[in-house]
Amino acid sequence: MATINATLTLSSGDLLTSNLAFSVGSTLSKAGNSTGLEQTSGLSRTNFLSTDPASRSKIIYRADDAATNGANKVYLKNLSTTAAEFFTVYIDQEEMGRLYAGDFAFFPWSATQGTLETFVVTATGTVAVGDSWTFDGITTTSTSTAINTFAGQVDNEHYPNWTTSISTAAVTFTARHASVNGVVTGTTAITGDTLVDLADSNFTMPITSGAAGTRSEADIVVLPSVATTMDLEHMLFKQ
Amino acid sequence: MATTTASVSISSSDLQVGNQLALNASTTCMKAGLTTGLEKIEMGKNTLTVADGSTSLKLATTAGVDGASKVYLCNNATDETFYIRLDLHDTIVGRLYAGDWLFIPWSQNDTTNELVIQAIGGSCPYEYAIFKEDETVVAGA
Repeated sequence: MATINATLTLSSGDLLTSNLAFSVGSTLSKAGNSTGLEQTSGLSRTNFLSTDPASRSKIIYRADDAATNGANKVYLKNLSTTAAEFFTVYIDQEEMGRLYAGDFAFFPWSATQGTLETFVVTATGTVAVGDSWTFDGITTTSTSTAINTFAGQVDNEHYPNWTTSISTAAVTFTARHASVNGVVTGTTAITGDTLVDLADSNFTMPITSGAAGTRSEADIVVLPSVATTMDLEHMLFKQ
Repeated sequence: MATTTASVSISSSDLQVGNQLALNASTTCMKAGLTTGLEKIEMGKNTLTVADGSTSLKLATTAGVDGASKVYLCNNATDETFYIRLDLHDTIVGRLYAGDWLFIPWSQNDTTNELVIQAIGGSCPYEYAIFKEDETVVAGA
């Protein structure tokens, strides 16, 4: 386990008639025990630059990145030096607050995840060399007449939004991020796939089972106040 | 104006191999968009019991909307399984386990944006401080 110490110091000589000066420290542990957190995103610096207000926000951390209900901690700092510039920090749709120039935040994060959409597509019929199946922008072209070999080719691809596993001719697709992908609703057909059956040999790729996903409701979203360049420093400590 | 300084130090010698983590940040708590320091503070300590259920730590008010308030909260429980769940209105932020603390901006984007705390597992003594701008005084019931 790692030992991570976090200390906050708050002080003021003129806010009250009595000096305000206190400090609190903690060792970052996993949920409900004294074992230290061991994983981190690493310290990062993200630039925000866009002339399009609608696209200026970024998801800094997805709930998928950490354990739901873990003792995850998030550090954020606005690196701007212009007093009026701020980042608005959201947990999903709920606004937490505005980080003005130089401000930082450090807070626990439950990372409440949704569910990953999943479906099983099973290669059936007779496949010919040159037949193909396209999904998620990836085209798999058969190099064999063996249906299981083609399924293996499909499984070997690297899909932008899905991971795969295989059992004989059945390939299980699992979304990389929890959301309502809209590809399946139960066991209905895939939305957006393309199948080419050169020899018209009843080669098909039907969904044989599936489950729709639900979106996460804890992604950390950050929106800069201006479209000119702004930098955010951030780090996630997680389970 | 007042000058209130908040500093954080995060360190670890064994989290990342070959990279000593020594993160330090400091800020002077200013009013929204200004270089004028926050001048008001509310702080206290209490004990939250499981029976209390969801409890409002602080209500958002009209005068505080879009301000630059800062919130400090620390769970002073010693049983490592006891935690305080912090919600922003109806959204879960996270679990503050025994000894953990947080420091967040709270801009009160609308008057439903209250801070809600709940003790889970057992009673949690806690302390808090809110550095704030104005707030609307709510009439008693």
